Amino acid sequence: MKYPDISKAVEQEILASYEKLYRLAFSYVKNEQDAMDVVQESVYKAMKNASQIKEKKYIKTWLWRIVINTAVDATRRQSRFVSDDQVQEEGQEDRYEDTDIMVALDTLEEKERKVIMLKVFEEWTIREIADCLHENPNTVKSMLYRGLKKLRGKVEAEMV
Amino acid sequence: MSRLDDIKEAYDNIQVPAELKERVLQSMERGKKDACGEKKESGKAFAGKSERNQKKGHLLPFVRVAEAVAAAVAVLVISVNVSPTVANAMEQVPVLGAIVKIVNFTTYSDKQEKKQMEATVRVPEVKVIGTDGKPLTRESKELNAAVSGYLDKIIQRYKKDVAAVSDGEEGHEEITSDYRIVTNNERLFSLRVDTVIAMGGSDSFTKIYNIDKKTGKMITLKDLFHEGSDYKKRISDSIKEQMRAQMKKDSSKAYFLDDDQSEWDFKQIKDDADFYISDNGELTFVFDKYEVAPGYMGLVEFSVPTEKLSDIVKDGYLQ
Repeated sequence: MKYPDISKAVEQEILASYEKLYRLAFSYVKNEQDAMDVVQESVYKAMKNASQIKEKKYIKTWLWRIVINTAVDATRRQSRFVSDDQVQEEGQEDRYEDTDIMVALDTLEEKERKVIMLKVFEEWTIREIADCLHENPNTVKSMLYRGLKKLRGKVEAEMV
Repeated sequence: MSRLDDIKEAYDNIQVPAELKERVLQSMERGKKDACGEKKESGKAFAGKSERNQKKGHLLPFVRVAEAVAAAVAVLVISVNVSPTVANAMEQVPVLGAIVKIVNFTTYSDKQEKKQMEATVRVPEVKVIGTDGKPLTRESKELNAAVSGYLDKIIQRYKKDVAAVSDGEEGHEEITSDYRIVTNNERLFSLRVDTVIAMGGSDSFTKIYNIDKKTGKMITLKDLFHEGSDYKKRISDSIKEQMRAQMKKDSSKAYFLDDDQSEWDFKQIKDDADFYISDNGELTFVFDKYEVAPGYMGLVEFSVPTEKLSDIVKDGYLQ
């Protein structure tokens, strides 16, 4: 392998953050089994392609990008299966009441949601988010603003 | 603000299952193994995938919708081609006016396994036949050029995206474009092309080609109405009214309207709006994802009640 040290660094990054990655995945797919599948699939992809990262400093944003994409793909698959009885049953395994609260995130546009999650939940810098999402920092800022605004609006509407 | 804190708290409280670590370690090993084998044989990636299939159970082995749709469309078109009876039954061939039909289609299909990118774009070939039974060559050509030109841009965009991803990186892009006939009455034929571009999030958009059967020519919204009429205002008002009513009735619905960030608001129907005539004869508009509503609403449609337009519409378009 060309960059064994990169591969090692990816491994360390995964071990340091897999629980956070799981939470992110869970917030999308909303059940334990699918969330674990998303993390596993992402970890597999990351390790398999680790040698292609050029610089260590990009590992974190790159890894999160993989997980976000995989989670979004998984929700798309879930929605294709919505009418399938089996999946409905599996959905009931979900025993977290907190899921109801997080549904608010689903009302955001996809990009706004990503920005909110990385900024508010993971406390990333705008620059890191911009790297991860391949957007420019100003776009990230305006998405953050819009997303926060929508969430607050939603809150007030629901509280009434 | 408190609500956002609630969400953050709920997020932080997500319990991580004990078995996750073990599964992460397993996947890491498999990924490493497959990374080493990658260069020797290209089939390795697939082997890795099927191995994961067994492990993962329900997540991976899903029927790709695009393929299922492709199969359905293929069957449909073949039956149109071989059996005039079926074709006539499906097209509800009108007594008067031109006949428009899809005589063939070609498919652009590409899959970049390593880059995780793929595209399936179906390009229909349409034939317009005049009232005298003779093909309208020029009209057919114009329509086909418009449709294939539009779809070609989508294909070129995909090719550009593929080229922009260097070897070894992943583009995560899936483009699917398909068409269907949405109106085929005595006066109008509408061919709808739906495209979904999935890249992390997904974007969906629609283009509808309308052919006036009286002339065999393509028409746009303004051609439906008498010159100088206020059709745009009437249509826009009706749509806004419906948006408000829906939002009031169902809090899960949202449109860009009456927002304090008014630059997003739906203001007026555009000249090149995508429309067709619904089965009950109403003028129906299709808006792209994000065009008039947040992304989660997807593509949205609104039908304008015919009585709101009946005094300005040209004869025969609406019922």
